[in-house]
Amino acid sequence: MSGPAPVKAPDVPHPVSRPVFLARATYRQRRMRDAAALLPILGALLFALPLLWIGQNGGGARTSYVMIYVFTVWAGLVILSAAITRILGIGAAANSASDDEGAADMRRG
Amino acid sequence: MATPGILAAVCVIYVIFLFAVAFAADRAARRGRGAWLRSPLVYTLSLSIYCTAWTFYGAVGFAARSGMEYVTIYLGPSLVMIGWWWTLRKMVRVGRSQRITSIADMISSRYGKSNLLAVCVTILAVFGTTPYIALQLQSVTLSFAAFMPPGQEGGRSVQSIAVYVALGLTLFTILFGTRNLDANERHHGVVIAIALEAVVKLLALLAVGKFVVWGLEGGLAATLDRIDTSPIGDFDVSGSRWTALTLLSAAAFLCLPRMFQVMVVENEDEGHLRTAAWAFPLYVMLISLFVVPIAAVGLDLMPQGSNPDLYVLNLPLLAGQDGLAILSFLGGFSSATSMVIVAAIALSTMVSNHIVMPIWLRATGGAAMISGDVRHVALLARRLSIGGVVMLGYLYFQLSGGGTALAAIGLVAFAGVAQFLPALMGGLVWRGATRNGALAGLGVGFALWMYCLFLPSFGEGVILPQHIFDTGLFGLTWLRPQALFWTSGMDPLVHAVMWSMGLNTAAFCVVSILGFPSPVERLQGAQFVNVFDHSQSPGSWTGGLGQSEDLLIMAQRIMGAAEAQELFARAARRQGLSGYLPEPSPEFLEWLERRLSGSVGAATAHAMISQIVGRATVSVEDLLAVADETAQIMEYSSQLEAKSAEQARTARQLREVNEKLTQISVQKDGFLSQVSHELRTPMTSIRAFSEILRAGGLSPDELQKYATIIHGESLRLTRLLDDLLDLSVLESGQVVLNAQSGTLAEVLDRAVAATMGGVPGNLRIMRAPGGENVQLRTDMDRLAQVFINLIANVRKYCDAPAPTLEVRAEVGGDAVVIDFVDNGTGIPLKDEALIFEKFSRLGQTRAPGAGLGLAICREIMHRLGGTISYLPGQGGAAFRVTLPLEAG
Repeated sequence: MSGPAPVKAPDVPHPVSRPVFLARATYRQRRMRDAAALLPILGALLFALPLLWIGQNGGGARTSYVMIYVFTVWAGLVILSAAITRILGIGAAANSASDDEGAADMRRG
Repeated sequence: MATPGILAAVCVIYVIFLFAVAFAADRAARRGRGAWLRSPLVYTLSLSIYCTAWTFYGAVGFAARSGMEYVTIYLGPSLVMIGWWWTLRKMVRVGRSQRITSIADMISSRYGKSNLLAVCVTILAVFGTTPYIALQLQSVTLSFAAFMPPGQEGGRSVQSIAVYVALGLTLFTILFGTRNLDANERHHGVVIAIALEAVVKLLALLAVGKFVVWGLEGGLAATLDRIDTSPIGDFDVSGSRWTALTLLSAAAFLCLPRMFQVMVVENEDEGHLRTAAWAFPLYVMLISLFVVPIAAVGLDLMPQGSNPDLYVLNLPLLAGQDGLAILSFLGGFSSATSMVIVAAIALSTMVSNHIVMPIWLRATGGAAMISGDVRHVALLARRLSIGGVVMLGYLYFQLSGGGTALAAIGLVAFAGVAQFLPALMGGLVWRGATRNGALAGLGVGFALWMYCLFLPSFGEGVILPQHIFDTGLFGLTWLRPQALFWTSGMDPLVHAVMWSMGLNTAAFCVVSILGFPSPVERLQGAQFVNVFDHSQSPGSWTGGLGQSEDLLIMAQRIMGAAEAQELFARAARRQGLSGYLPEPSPEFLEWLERRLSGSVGAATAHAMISQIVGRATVSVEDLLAVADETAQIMEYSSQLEAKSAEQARTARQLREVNEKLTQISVQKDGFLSQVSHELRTPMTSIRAFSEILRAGGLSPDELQKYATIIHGESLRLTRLLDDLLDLSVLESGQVVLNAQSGTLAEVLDRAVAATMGGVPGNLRIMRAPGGENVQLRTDMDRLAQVFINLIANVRKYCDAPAPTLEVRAEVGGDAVVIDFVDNGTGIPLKDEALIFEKFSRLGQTRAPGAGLGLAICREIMHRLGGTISYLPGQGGAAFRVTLPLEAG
C-alpha cells in the first residue's frame, strides 16, 4: 500500500519547547531577571530627580540635601541589587542549565 | 612635619610590599593553591581601578569647583554595574567564549577578525590613555611636592620623581604582567596587587573623610552646615552636563581598555558579576561619600589659591596629622600605580598583538615556518610596548607641563574611549553591524573628538590657532570646534560628546545598513549576538592532511614546546589517535585558533593558521547556521503544519473510502442474498410447476396456467441476467454504441411511454417541452434506457402521497442538462455516495430490484460522454444528467 510518506523532520535544530506555565520557583527567577534588568532604569530616573528641585531662593536645591538624597538612593540601589542578585544566584546554583537563556526571557516571561 | 625622605622610604617599603604580595600570589596560583585569589571579592576590588588618582585627588577638586557634579562620574559606572544583566553579562560571556585579549581584539574579532579595525582601535586607545597615564604621573608628582618645604615644590628632585615612578611601574608591569604569553590567562599577581591597592585607597579616603568631618568640623551636622554656607552650597548643576557626564562615564566604564582588561579579560567566572553588581556600586559610593565634605572644608580652611585637587593631602598636613597625610599619599599613590599597571598591560597587549606582531610577521615573510621563537618575539614585543606606553605617558606629562586641572584631562580621555561604544555595543546586539560601519563610526567619532575636545583642551591658540576658534576651520563658522553647526549654546564638553557620539553612531548605522558584510563577519556576528544560544562556533577551517606537523611547530613557537605538545596530544587522544599529531579537522583548527588568539590576538592567530592551512573557507553549513534561526524554525514549523494538514486531509479521505468500502461490502452481501433470492424464487416456482407438468393428469386450463407461470418466471430470470450482463459489458467497455440523430423530446417521450405503458400509475410527470427541443446525436436507445431507469425509480421509490416528477431540460454551454426532480423525501446525505454503486439498494426498501439500475445508468452516461449525478437540495430526489450536444 502506498500511503502518504511519513513526515520526516528536516535537519534543523528543534525549536525548544518552552513551557507555558512555570513552577513557582522558576517563575520567581524569571521575575528577578526582569527586576535586575529594570533596576538601572529606576536608578537613572531617581538620580536625575534633583535636577528638577528648586531651592528657596529660586536657584537649585541645597547641596547637602542633594548629597543626602543621592547617597540614600545609591545605598538603596546597592541593597536592592544585592537582594536581586542573591536570589538570582540561588536560582543559578539550583538550575545552572537555564542560566543562559538571556534577556530573551524578559520577553517570554 | 613628614619629610620627603620619610615619605620616600614609606613609598619604597610599600612598593616592596606590593611586589612581595604579587609574587606570593603568583606562586600560590602556580602551585594550584589560593582559591581566594579567584573570589568574587577580589574581582570586585580589581574593578576599582576605575577610581584612579583622578578620583582620589581630582574628585575633591572637581567638587570644589562645581559641587555635586563630580558624582556623575561614579553614577554612570554604578548604573552599568547594577544593570549587569543587560550588557556586562554578554560582554563577559563573549570575551570568555572567544578568548578575547583586549577591547581591540573584541571589536576586530566581532567584525570578521579585521586587523585594520584592531589597529584603529589600538591607536585610538593609545591616544585616549596616554593623557590619562600622564595624569597619574602628574598626581604622584604633585602629591609628593605637597610634602616639600615651601619654595621647593618645583625643584628638580620633584620632577625626577615622575621618572622613578614611571620606571618602577614599567618594571612591575613587565615582571607580573608578562609572565605568560597567553593574555587570556589571569595575572594573579597583578590582580591581587591592585585589589590590595583598592583597599588602601578606600581606607585612606575614608580615613581622611572621617578626620575632616569629625576631627576638623566636629560632627555631621556641622559639616552639612559648612557645606551649605560654602561656595558650593547651591546645587547649581546644568541638566545637560549632569546627563552627559553620567552617560559619558557609563560609556567609558565599558570602553576603557583597562576596565575591559579587568572586567572581561581577567574575569575568572561569570558568577563574579553577581557580586560585583552590588559590591562595586557600594565601593564607589563609599569612595565618593566624603568628597563634598572634604571639598567644602578645604574651601573654608585652605588659603586662597591653593590647589583644590590636593585638599585630601593638604588638610591633614595643615592639621599636623602626618600619619594620616602619609596614608592619604599612599592612597593616591595606589590609585595612580594600579591604573598605570593595568592600562599598560591592556595597551601593550593591543599594541603587540595588533601592530608589532603583524608587522613582524610580514617583515619576516614565512612567519611560523622560519626558525626562531615567535614566543620570545611576542613577549619581547609586549614588554617593549609596556615600556613604550608608560614612556609615552611620561612624555605627555613633560610636554603638557602638568598645568591642566586633573578632572579636565580625565573627561577628555573618557570622551575619547567612549567612541568605541557604538561599535562595541552595536556589535553585541546587532547582527547587521559591519566592519565598514565600525570603521566609519570610529573614524568620524575620533576625528570629531580630536577637533572638538582633545586639541582645544591644550588651550586656545596652543595647537589649534586662535582664528579657528573664532571663525572656524577654513573660515567656515559652522566648523568652529566648540560650536559645530552653530550650536554654540552648549558646554564645550557636552558639545563635543554630543556631536562625536551622535555622528559616530549615525555613521556606524548608515554604513552598516548600506554595506554588505563578508561571510566571516556574518559568522562572527551571529556568534557574538547569539552568544547565549550557541557558545560553540561552527568550524570554519578546511584542513588538508600533513599539516598537523607544521601546526605543531608553529604552536610550539607561540605557546612553548611542552604546552603545545601536551595540547596536541590531548587533541589527538580526543580524536582516538595516538601520538602528537591530530587530524587537522575543522573543529581542531577552530579550537587551536582560539587558543592561539589568547596569545597573539584573534586577527594574528587567524592569519598564522591560514598561512599553514590555506584560506579559511566558510562552508554552506556555516552560512546556514548564520541564517536566522528564527527563520529556520518558522520554516520548519510551517513545513510541519503543511504536512499535518495534508495528513489530516489524507486521513479524512481514507476514512471516507473506508466507510464507503464497508457500506459497499454490506450492500454486496445484501445484494448477493438478494440476487440469489431473486434467482432462486423464479427457479423454485419453475421447478415446482415443471414437476407438476411432468406428473401429468392436468386439465388444459391448468396446463395453460402453469406454463404461463413458468414462462413469466423465466422472463424475470432473463431480465435479471440481462441486467447483469449489460452492466458487465458496459463496465468492460465492450459496448457498441450506434449513434442516431433525434431530439431530446423524442427520447423522453419514448421513456415515459415505456415506463407508464399499460400500468396507469398515479405518477404525474411535468415536462417543459420548450427546453426539450434539442437536437442530439447519440445512442438514443441507451439514453432512453437511462431515462426509463430514472422514471422507473421514481415510480418505485417516491414516497409522496401524490408523486410528481418534474423533468427540466436546459442547454448550458455545449451540453444539455436534464434534471429529474421528484417530490419524495430524497436520498439521505450519507447514502449519496453509494447510490451509483453496483449492488446498492438503499435501506430495507420494499420495492423489488437488484440495485443495478443506477449503476448501469452511470456506466451508460460515461460511455455517452456525459455524466449523471445526484443533485442535492431540491426538495426531493433529484438526478442531473449532462450530455454533450455533439457526443463523439
